[in-house]
Amino acid sequence: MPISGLFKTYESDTFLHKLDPRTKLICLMIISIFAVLLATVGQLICLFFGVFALHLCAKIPLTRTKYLYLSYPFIFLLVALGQGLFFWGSQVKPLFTIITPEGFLFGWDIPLLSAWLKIFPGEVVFYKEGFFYGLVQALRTATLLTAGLTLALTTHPIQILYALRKFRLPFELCFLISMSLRFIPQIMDEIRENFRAQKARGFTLKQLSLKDKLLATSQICDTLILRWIQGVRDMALAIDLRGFRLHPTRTYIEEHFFQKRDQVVLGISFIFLILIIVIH
Amino acid sequence: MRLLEAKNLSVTYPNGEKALDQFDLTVDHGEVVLVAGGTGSGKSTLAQRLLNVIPNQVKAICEGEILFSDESIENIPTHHLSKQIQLILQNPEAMLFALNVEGNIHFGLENHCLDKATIKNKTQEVLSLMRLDSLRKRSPMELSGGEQQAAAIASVLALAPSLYILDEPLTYLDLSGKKRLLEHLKQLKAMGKSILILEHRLDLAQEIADRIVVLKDGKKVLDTKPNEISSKELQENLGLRTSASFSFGTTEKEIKETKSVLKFKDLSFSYPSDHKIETPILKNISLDIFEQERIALLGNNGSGKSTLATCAIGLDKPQKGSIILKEKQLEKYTTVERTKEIGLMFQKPESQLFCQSVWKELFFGGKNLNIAEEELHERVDTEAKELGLSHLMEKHPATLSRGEMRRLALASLLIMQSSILILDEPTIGQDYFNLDKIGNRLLEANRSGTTLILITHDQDFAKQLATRTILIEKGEIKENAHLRTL
Repeated sequence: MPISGLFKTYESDTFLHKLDPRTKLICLMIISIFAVLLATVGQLICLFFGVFALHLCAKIPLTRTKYLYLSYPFIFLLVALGQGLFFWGSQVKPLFTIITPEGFLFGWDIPLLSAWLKIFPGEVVFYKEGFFYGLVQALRTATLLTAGLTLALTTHPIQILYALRKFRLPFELCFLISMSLRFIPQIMDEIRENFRAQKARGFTLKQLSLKDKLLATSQICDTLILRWIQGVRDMALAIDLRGFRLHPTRTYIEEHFFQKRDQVVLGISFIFLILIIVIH
Repeated sequence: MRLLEAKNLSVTYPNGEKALDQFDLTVDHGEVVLVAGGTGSGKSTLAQRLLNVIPNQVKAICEGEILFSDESIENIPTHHLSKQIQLILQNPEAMLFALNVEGNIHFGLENHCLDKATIKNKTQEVLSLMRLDSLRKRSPMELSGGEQQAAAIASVLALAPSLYILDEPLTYLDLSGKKRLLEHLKQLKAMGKSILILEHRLDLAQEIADRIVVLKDGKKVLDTKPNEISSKELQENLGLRTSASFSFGTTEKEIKETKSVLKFKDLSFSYPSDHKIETPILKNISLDIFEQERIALLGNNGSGKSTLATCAIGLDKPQKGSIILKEKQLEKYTTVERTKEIGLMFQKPESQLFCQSVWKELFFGGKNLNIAEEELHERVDTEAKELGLSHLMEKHPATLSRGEMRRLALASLLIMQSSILILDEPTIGQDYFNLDKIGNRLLEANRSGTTLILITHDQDFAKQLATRTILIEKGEIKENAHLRTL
């Protein structure tokens, strides 16, 4: 599947797909508020699995979501373990010591480390408070990523655009967002096509060192940028030619109305929101 | 009755290039004018000048006057002119900025404040006309070149202006698409609409034109009725494509079934899809291609021709079947080994060009194949000269014209001297002179042992060059015939 395919809406008729895009946007905002207000690991685990259950209801195939699932361990490793190592505060308690001031790595004597620590003295400690703080941040990130991606994969960009317009955002701004949505996958496909073209002329990145790989990749950048600028210029002309901003107002072919299911979902979401605000 | 009158139009770009020079043009109500000219003759500049894109958006020194319905349109912004004049750009992809085909048609109609019922009716009308019904919800990126062009044309036809300007509208369309478009233009003409067609090909548009105006180096060199000038004269003196034949040889049509160099065995391919049932692009293709053959791969837009080519060079992997390249499975070749044997010119060569200058582009493939420096220089010089690129060596490939880009992509392939060359639409954007050069160069390569596979909608070029034609329809081979028996 071309990379751009991953960002394409997954067409289906699940309950989530049928919801009005405005309902989904409001729910996403409420989930974001929950993620900020809830502060304990237990509460955030509940929120994460709640959002994940909703995500599974959309029945999105694994080909589209595998990158999301693969990102979870990285988020937890980087954020939780990273905070465990670098957390700082006056009341912090070390959970365990990784490198002692004497140069022991998990109890093993490493001569090179001892020599290094004689020049740069110190220790590497893993802090309990840092780990839990990192876990909270990782859970928040994973929750928002899951919710955002579920919205993007179950809602056609045009519908997000109509929803934004209904929220009284100027049409010009909505149009700009739609153009970005149109361009992101195109840019990704063009980069992919360039690599394919290089391969078709006997060039593969595999045979190069990391430095040369970066150099080869950077070399196609200016060509791509030049081409995008030309493409955007042509597109601006095409937009002008079709009477963009010809009149102060314009017709909108698609209109959206809230259904009963939207009212129910929004009602439940607001009740939860009020409860959580009151509790906090 | 006069609709458009352009008097003494001159356009000089900031780099000093004079793209139009004292050019006069008139278009009457219900008249179809074909403005013909070779590559770089000033056709696209004329289109942009008539809509005030030049100088409003593209800086240039402009002289002369344009009258539309007897009123000067000087200083009127392009979007206001869009009520009366519409332009179909040379690059259809740029015209498709909405998220799907239907959205692109809606966009202009919504801006013109038409009511919803009218928008829906007009959208349906043009979708049916351009046979785009089944593609209405598709993203422009998922369309083939021809389908993109059809969608761009549909979005302009829906607006029903008084004057249509079409900049090389037939380029990516297959034969049936071209015929449908010309048929519709005839209907528009009958309805009293005026049409200005900018083309370097005369053979198809000539039949509906009331007048032919020929542009050369920005100057009008001819303004005549189609029946008042011979095709041969237009072709040989002005470089315009007509139905007259090319100079390169047509005699070598003998059937050579020496040894198979490329073999497709029961090949099936489909792009990964969310749904369990995938739409196959190629269905059980079995085909043998023999050494030194010249094959024309024909078929409608979206029939699977380009996919067969990308499978043949290992860029796409078929789900079923195998490809044997010179008695060895394709996947057993390394990238360099495979490139020595088989090369592909992409349908959109702009995505095939990624270096910072023409000469770097020409050297790129040869360096990957470890061709000796001296030998490589020689090949680069020869191909650049043969294909008319010598004067462009320091230019950035992205700044070249469509025709030049295609010749550059071809030259960079010829330098590698792969034993099989697959060329996807090599004739697009080429005037007669350049096409003749390409034909001659390909024949020469073929004589020295290269097997040629041309994917094209250009039937005249294919007929003259190919020894065998293969017709693909909906991913299946429908005809496979030597030209002698076709």
